[in-house]
Amino acid sequence: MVGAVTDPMTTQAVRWRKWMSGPRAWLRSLAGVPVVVVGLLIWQWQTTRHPVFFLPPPLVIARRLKTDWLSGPAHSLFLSHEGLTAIVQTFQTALIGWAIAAALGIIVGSVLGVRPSLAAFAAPPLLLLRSVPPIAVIPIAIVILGLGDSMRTAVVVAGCLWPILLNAVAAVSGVDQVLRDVAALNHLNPIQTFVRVLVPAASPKLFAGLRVALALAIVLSVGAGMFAGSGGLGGRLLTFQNNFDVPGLWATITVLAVLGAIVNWLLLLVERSALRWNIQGETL
Amino acid sequence: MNLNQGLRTLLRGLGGVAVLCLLIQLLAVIGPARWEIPNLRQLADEVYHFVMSDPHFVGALLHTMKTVVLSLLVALVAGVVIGIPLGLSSVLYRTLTLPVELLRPVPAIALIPVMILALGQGQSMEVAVTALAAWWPILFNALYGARGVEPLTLQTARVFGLGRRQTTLRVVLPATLPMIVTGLRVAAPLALIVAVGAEYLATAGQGLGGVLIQATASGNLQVLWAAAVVTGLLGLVIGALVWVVGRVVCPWSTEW
Amino acid sequence: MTSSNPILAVKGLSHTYGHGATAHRAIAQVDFELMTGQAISVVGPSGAGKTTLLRCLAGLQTPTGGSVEIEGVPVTRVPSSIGVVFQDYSRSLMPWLSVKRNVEFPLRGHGLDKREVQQRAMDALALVGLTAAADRHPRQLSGGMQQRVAIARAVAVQPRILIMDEPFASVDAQTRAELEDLTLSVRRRTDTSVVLVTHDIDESVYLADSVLVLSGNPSRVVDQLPVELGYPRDQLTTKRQENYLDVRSKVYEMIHPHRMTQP
Repeated sequence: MVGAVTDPMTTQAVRWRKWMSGPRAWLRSLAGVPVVVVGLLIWQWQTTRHPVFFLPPPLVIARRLKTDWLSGPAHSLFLSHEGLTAIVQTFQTALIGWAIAAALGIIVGSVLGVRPSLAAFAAPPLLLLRSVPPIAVIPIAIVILGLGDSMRTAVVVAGCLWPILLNAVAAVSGVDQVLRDVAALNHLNPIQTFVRVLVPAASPKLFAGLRVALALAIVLSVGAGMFAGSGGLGGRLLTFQNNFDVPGLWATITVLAVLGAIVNWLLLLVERSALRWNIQGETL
Repeated sequence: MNLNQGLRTLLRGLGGVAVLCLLIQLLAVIGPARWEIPNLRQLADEVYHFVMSDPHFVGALLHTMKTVVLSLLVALVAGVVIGIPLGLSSVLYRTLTLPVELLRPVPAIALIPVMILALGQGQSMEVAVTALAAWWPILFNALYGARGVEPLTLQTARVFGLGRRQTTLRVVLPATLPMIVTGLRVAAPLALIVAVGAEYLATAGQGLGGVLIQATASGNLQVLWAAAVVTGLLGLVIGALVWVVGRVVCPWSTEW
Repeated sequence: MTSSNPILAVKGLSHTYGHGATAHRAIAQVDFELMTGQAISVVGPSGAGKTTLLRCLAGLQTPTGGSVEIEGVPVTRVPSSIGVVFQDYSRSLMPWLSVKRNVEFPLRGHGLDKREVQQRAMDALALVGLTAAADRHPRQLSGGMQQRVAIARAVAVQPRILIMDEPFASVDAQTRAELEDLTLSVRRRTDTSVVLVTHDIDESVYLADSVLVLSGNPSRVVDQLPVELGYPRDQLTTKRQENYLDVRSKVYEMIHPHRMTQP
């Protein structure tokens, strides 16, 4: 279906990706460490010599990181109280919204994927609905739900639903007809066919959609928090902006980047484990 | 696809839209009163008023479109110029993969406040932030696309005496175009979101974001529903434009 | 050894896809019978509706005309007494299941307890010589081995009829010879009746007790030729016999009637 995450790759690309993601890949990517270190050094050196208002030196940012975020007790991973609250607020709404969107998207998408005639009906209205950017949903959500967690969760669901749904339709309808024949030949009823054949066969594409949606969920949760300062990391960003507190902003950005990377990596681990059998490497 | 099938698909599509309209009507009646879901007639009215009443609406629309198009162009150039060499050279890829993976998780939305402080509230800030957000999908698609060019094709080019630059321009680039266009299709809606978001957060009140801010401030739900519809239609238009661009640039591609 | 009643009877089978102007008649008229324990190969030019015939036999499709009867019972849905081997093994095996679990897959609905399911699966794997690969995944195996897994899966339910759709078309010639002999051995040990669809004329004669030759589009039966070659058969001696060469050239002429060597 139009809009789903596609992955057309030649064998060469697959082989290359296997090389890059194999067991010693992390060793090879360490080649980037000197680049990062040199980059940081140049950054530190240049911005100390010629201060740039909106780009403080890395050491200044690191110091703010420590005072704002890492000044807490050991039992909460050294995170400061406000830092922890903000992080939890943002990521909680992101993950809950993502989970709801995942459940809805996979169910509806699978139903549509199994019945292509239904999908033909549903394609245009879905296209209309998903063209509404989440940004336009935020004001409505604010007026209806106020400025709290429920507003942010609603925005996340509204934004994440579409990539997951579209990928589910593409994934389920793309399941090889031969596998469906095998299911029919083994007298599997529709539910059994769905659970034992369609879902596992569709899982590579499903996971791709889920990962895209997760990144989107975090972005939306932060974004919704930035509008009208409704809490979480987004709210802190807005506060820092209003106070012209650039180091504070950068420290928050760093925290966001690190946590986003960790969450994504965790999902990737789950995916790699669940898709161990997928030797042709369809993960994107 | 013959006429019969084309007609049936069209009818099915219209049928789907009709069901959607019915749903909206239904929700307008039975939906929670607080949500003030407009029925179709009210929605049409509001959209009309929304578009016509604000004398700056067309200007705002054009402002947003300009931001989106400019930033997509920047993102396209940057993504292709950096992505293709990264895909072709494993040395480059190995050294740059770590810094890239470190920078990627920074969401563009989070950079908006910094950008506002750095570049002010104007259109250059909007274009900068939007380009920063939109270039990632294009970069990675160009990268994977370049990497995915069949080595046999590259060898054939070498056999024909094409130098490195020639090979890149005349073989790798066309071969990677379908993937680049896919990246563009992902980047376009993203650009719209970030552009409107940047406008919304900046207090200059420009573009669709500026219009949305005014509507939010008034608390008028009817206007907000209309605004959502209008933004959605704009998203559709942008999507259609990108589709056309894709068809023109890669008529041979079978991906859509 | 063979009963007097055919295990499979196809009567006046015809099938048309679509309606009206865009209708496509895949099968015009096909009749044949298969006796218990025998093997029949169905051979014909490409596009001759062989796959359609197979889908009707397997109950995956209801023919628009005529009937298919298995042991006298008309086939309306997928019968429980058949096993199917597809041409494209890599697409028909479930890539997320191990070889063992793939072979167990059809056994799960038959009311057997877990131990019996596993035992039957391992027996089937032993039949095709793949006991060592039981815990690997299909994509870790070569094409020939994957097809053997597909065969094991098909015979695990101890079907009365084994239906094979161009099963060896996707493997190289040497593997094909091995798999042909494997099929003969499986047939001998399980006494299953076989319907084999193929475009390979040599194979159609080598593996069967009669050859059903289909015409081109739409399919009709050109002739049904008996193959009196006896068992056991092997690639070297059988393919030298007069009988074999005779049937083989007859089949060839029926399929390529206007092919004449240049003067």
